[in-house]
Amino acid sequence: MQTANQPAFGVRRIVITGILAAVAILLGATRLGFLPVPNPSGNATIMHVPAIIAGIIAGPISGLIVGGIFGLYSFLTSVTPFFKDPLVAILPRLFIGVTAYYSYRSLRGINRNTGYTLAAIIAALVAVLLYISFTNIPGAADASLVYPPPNPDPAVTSRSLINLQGTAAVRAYQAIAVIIGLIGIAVVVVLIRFVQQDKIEMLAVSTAAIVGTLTNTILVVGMLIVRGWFPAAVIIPAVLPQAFAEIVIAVIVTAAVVAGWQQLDSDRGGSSV
Amino acid sequence: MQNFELLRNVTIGQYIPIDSPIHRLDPRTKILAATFLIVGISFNSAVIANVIFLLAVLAIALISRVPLKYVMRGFILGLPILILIFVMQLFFQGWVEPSGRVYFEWGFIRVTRYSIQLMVISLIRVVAFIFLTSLITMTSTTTELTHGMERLLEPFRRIGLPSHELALVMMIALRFVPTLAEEMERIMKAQASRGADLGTRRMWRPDKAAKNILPLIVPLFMNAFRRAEDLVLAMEARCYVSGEGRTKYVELHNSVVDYAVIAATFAFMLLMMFYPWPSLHSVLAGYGFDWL
Repeated sequence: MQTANQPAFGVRRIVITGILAAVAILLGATRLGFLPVPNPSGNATIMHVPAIIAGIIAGPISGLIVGGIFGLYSFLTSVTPFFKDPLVAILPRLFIGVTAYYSYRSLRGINRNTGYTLAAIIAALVAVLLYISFTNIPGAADASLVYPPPNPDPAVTSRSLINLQGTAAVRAYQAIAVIIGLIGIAVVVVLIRFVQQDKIEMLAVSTAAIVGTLTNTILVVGMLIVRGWFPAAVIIPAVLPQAFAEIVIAVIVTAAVVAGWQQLDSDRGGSSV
Repeated sequence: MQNFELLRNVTIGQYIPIDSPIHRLDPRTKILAATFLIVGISFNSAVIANVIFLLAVLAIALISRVPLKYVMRGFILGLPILILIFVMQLFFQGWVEPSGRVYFEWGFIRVTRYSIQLMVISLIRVVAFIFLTSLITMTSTTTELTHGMERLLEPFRRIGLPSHELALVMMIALRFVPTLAEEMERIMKAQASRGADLGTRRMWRPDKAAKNILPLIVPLFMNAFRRAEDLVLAMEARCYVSGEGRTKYVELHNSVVDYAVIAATFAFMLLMMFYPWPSLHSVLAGYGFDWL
């Protein structure tokens, strides 16, 4: 119930934010928040899921606060050395709920046509990316589908924007382009399936879960590299299986919880968050 | 088999109720001083400065009369990961330029002045942060900290920061952790008695792992939402209005000592950050040790 002299951050939002922060702390304090994964850290976490859910059901400020409390908690109590660095523990966590909220908001309102248009745009971008990376590699002077020999003339290579020298770099660049292309195609297929079945809400929630999880993973790993805790060549491959597992788990858990919440919310009636 | 006792594990720091000059400080002072020290340590990459910071933190720990073995427990638990990190920093960060003198090189492993410096600073930082964070939670209760944070953020209300609401959120969070833990225990026992498979964890199938925990996680969230609903109803029935015009049950009072401590830590931080610290190897070279 919003009255005139009440700020935008009303009672309902305060309480829901607080309770979700409590869930985040609980998941962190017990072993419940960790699931085993085959990678060096051995754990995928769902501790960031309350922040994503807060972003979806109560808005960006709630998401920010839940993420902040979760970060503060892991900073104060963690025994993992690098989480004793506030720039690793707290700062990245602030953004989980915020990015989740905006991806949810931007997708939940779309209709069929917008969905198909979006799929078409992504497909076109994938095609352009693949075309560029196999025909006109910046730095590899010759445009051809056949694997091009690197141009020995330094004047040609140094003129390009991205200076890829030698065959290994070109091959790596093409491999990355193919991976991005495959991910893009998968995104298009999933997007069309969801839109065809009119599961836009589901699509928005899943996307929010993926974006929130990626925000957490990318920013934390980025901070670990920037702060010199781990070299990039070691941590990025080490964290990949965990990142994948976390995305899958976060999507399933978030979708289940948000569906339950919407059920609860429609039963309740009255004011909404 | 599963460990059903969750409550035992849920501690947010460990308050040690003894009387010491640190305990008597206002929570605002402690938060500010700790923040200054954390900022100072975070953004300092000189070995000598970090050593001085560490000594200062140790001195604070001694003044607070907190038993050091409590503090060290956190350090020892994290030691295996710490060693792993140090080995990696030592061997693999040697390729970061400027690397300084190269001491050892074999294949892709390279030990340089930079990598050793990074390792030493990381170690000092970790120890200092473990001490600082334990000291905060050991010398002040969570309630004190929340009140302190609320008062500290109050000036930012003018630019739209909901400081009172933020404190209330933290209060609710802390209040509900034990309740939800109890709830969770009940859910786990209920699901286990129905034959839910909570013990086995599948490593290679994250989707299966997620589905395994759904019978625990979804009821946990639903319970939390229902409790939230009850609390909202209770607060709205009592016409709760946050912010302006509310009086407080706990009033904080700053003494002269508090202001002095804040000023001293702030000055200390500035001094440590802006003093042009010489590098350790150049200082040692001045005394004739030029092997570093």
